[in-house]
Amino acid sequence: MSSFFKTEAGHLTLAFIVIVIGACIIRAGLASGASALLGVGAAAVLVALCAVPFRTYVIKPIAKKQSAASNSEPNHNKE
Amino acid sequence: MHIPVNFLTWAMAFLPIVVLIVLMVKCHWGAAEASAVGVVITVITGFVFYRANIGLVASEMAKGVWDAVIILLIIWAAILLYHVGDEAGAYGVIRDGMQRLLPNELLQILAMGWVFESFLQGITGFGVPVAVGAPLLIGIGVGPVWAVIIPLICQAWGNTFGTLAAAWDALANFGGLTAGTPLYWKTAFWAALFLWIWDVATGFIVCWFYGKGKAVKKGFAAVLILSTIQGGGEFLLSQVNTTLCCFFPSLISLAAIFLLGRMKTYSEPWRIDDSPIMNRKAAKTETAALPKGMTLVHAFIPYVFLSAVTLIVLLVPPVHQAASAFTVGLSFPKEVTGYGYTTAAVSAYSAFAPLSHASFFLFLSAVVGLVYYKHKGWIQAGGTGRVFSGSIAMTMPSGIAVVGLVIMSKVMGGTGQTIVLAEGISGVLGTAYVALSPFVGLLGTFMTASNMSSNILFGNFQMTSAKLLHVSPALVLGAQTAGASIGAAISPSKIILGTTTAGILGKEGEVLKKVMPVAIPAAVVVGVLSLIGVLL
Repeated sequence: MSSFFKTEAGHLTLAFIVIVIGACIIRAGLASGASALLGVGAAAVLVALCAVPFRTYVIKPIAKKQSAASNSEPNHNKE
Repeated sequence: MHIPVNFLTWAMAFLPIVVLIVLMVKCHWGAAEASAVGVVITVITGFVFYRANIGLVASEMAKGVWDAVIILLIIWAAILLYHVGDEAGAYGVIRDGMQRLLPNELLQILAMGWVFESFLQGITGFGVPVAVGAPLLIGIGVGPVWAVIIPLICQAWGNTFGTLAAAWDALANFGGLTAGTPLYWKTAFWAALFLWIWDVATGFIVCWFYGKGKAVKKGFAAVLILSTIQGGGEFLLSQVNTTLCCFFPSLISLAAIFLLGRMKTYSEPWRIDDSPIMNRKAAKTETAALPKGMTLVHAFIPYVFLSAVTLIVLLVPPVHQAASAFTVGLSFPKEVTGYGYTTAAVSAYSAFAPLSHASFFLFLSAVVGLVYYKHKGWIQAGGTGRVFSGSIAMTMPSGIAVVGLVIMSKVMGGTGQTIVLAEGISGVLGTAYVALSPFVGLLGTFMTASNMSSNILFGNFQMTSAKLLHVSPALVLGAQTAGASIGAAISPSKIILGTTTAGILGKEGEVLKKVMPVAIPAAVVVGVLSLIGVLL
């Protein structure tokens, strides 16, 4: 199960779960009239949605660069 | 106070859509990634230019998540059903069965490229017909690029009413059509009529690809009969039951093609040796990999069950009443923007009856198929886990995109951005806009890979435009969903699904270049017919 959440589909599933939780918080805010809950719920939805492009276009390229750099290091040492 | 309709407010309403298009088409972002940016921009423009408050935006977001969850249930259940068949090896059995029963090569291609894809589109959709169809066609000797092109074109007609009408339901929901009203049936009439024309065309296009005029002549009777069953059947049934109007004609056409194979014209072996789409050396001839003892009937067991359960629940009134008795809907309060634009309160928003919902039928059929294939030994140990994890892995990328697009559409609608967008366009183009309406739908599917997402994104906008122009909303919405359906043939995400299973990843441009000259004229025809319909 934990290995699934390390995959691409697993990350998207996690984002989806956070979105649903965010919607539940909004519903609770609407029912109780607590505007703070509305803000928290909306923020949770937005953050979970934005995590998808952030991971694809920021985290992944950085990780790729780092792994490329670490792969090339031993070669330099040999030289 | 009213929302001012000027260039600034119009441009700000259009901005999220432009950004979405640029990110997906120009920057090659996926729909899941691009829709998130679209949502952020919509929320910001809502607050800054449309005087929305946090209550309104949050409320529309929650509505969007609720709508998306209902849609995702269908997508996941449909993909689960596909994975059950795939794990058991049922698609290989279907390919072999068709080859044995249809000696005419053109009829084999029509069967595996058009009729079987239409059947799959009727139930599953979401790219599954393309993913399944491409390897099947390669298996009988169709060149890999053509093995992607043919299913892409041929599944498109079934996109609106396929997947037990998921895209149609989205159009009805977001376009504001109430089921059973005259406008609902009239819209279904126009949508099904446009799609029938497209269906006839796709059959002849496949014949043309196979062997130009000679193949069109040979396949003429088959295409006419099959398209009358598929498109004509959908047209007639769309006036009775929209949920089943693609599925049943597709099912009947699947039976009909085997009967056609027994007709004098098609019962003898026939082929065009120098067909440009064939690469017969690559055809699969081995049967060792097929599951032992599985026949065509066994391969179709989950679909037979699906047909039976859907028919019983939807068409037997006491069963339908009992299944529809339990509904779940969320209540939402009235919301007003700073400009006085009001969203009314609802006591049960998007009320959903789980036991009479398409997702429930699909899920039951998948479970029945899984248990049956496991009992027969066609699904090995660990297969159940692979089926479920595979279905989730395939659902999630489109799932997040659906969530983002639905939220974007809801926030745009709730803050008044959709109405400003529609007022601006209708004010500038006037009635001529109707000719462009299928291209809006086509663009939506091109961007999102889904007829349903296109209807979610633009359904409300098209309805509002039609009302402002005082033209028939049925025609405009019919053109929207027909254009979106045609757009399913050129959607990059669907093309990638096909090129992946065909083993030609990277040749998407070659595929797109051959499909574009077919899809664009089809959308032009729908636009011209819609304009004529409005002017008459």
